Formats: sequence, C-alpha cells, structure tokens
Amino acid sequence: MQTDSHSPAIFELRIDETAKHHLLTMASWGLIIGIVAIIKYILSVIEYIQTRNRVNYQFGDITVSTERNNLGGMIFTISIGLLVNYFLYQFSSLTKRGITNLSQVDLNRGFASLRTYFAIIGVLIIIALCLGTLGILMSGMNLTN
Amino acid sequence: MEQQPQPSSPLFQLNVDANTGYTLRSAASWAKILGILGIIFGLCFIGMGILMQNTMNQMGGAFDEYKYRGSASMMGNVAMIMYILIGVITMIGSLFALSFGNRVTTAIRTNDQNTLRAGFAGVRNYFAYWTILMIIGLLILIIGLATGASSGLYS
Repeated sequence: MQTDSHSPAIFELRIDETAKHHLLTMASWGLIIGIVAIIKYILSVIEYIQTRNRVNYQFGDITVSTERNNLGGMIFTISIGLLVNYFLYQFSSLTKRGITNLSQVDLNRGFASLRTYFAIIGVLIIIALCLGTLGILMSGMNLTN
Repeated sequence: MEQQPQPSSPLFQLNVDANTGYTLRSAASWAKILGILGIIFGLCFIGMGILMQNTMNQMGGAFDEYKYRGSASMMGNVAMIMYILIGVITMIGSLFALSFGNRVTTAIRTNDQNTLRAGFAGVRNYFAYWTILMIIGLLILIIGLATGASSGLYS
C-alpha cells in the first residue's frame, strides 16, 4: 500500500510499531474522554432542568432554599467543552484512520487537531489565570478602601 | 523480475515528513505552554487552599456556636485539603503534557527515534490520566444526583 505523501522523510524519523501503538492508545483514550464529557454535559442539563427554579439545602433540621439562575453559565461551559472535545474527537478518529490506512495526510490532520486541542486549553487557562488575578486584585482593593 | 516491496520500506510506513514535523513541533510547543501554565495553576490552587485555611482560622469562633457547621478551623482544613488535592491533580496532568512537549521537540531536533516514542508515551499517559479522573468525576456526579433525587433534596 503506498502512502499518499510525496514529500521526503526529511527528519528521518518514523512512526514505527511502538509509536503506532502509543498513538492508537492515545486516540482511544481521547475518544473515551469525549464520550465521558458528553455524558457529563447531558447529566448537567438534566440536573439543571430538575432543579431549575429552586434548590433546597438541608443542614440537619434547617432548610435553606435558593433560586438557581445559571443557565448562561451552563451553556457557556458546555459550549467550550464541546468545542474542545470536537478537536479531541478529530484527533482520535484521524489518527486512527491515518495509522490503519497508512495515510500520512490523515495523520498530519490528526496532529493538527491535537495542536488545536492543546492551544484551546492553554488559552482557557491563561484567561482563567488573568481573571483570577484580577479578582484577587479587586478584592484586595475593596478590603483596603 | 519485479521485486515485491519489503514491509520495512518507506512505502509501507509512516514518516515524520516536513509537514508532520511542523505540526508535531507546534503541538509540542502548545503542550509545553499548557504544562507550564497547568503547574502555575496548580500552585495557585495550593496557595489559595493555604490562604483559605489561614483566613478561616482567623475568623475565630463565629461558626463555632452553630453546632451543625463545626469549627471554623475544621472547615478551613477541609477546604485546604480539597484545594491542595485539586492543585496536585492539575500539576501531575500538566507534567505529562510538559513531558510530551519537551521530548517531541528534542526528538525532532536531534532525529532521535527513542525520544519520539517517549514523547508519544507522555501524551498517552496525559490522556489516560485525565480519562480516569473524568470517569471518577462522572461517577461522583451520578452518585450525587441519585442521592439528591432519592432524598428529595431537589424539591
């Protein structure tokens, strides 16, 4: 079977049997992550629907009742999660296809999806760190005023 | 006589060509960034846990009078342990990503096949680690939902 890449192996590195095994395992774990994440999102939506208006917190013989109003936050979280898991699924399926069919193009596309996956998570962590730092600074300013 | 290509010839294997090398290198760069940021994030969580414990201790006996809440220091200790646990979990996962990033970058630079394999093993461990944690989280969520529903908490 001939690979569909016409460029030479400039770097002299091969995807040998051990590397293929690692890549296939990675792809399988990635697929499981995506499935588990989608199940969690579905359960979150079900939980939200069940507790949409009011949640009672029980502390011994005292009941504290609060209203839940975090639809926007849930939608935002699920949207980001689906975006991240889409690229993870792409990496998983393309890498498996590339290794199974000895397709350099599919393998390259799989690695590109992996790169995008890492990039999105990295950017999200940067945003979270910036927001956390801002929050600490603002709370510190409030305490001093 | 036409010779059959051998299974070990370049026709029958995947190589790290120019395109693959570029993509892997950029994926490794992002993995390194993710690893470093994750370690910083984990350290922040650990710091927050220690800060929360100190804050709760300084609040004194405000909660001590309420018998169902327990002492403020106990709450602070519980919060500190949870934050430290989250921080350590985050840091361990980030170390796997950093390992992948460093090894693949080194492998492409030095054309070292063993280091490339080790790099792929690193990201395999990264995915395996987070998969197990997510499955545990999912089980906890299911148990929590089932417990809440059966006890009539959500009414």
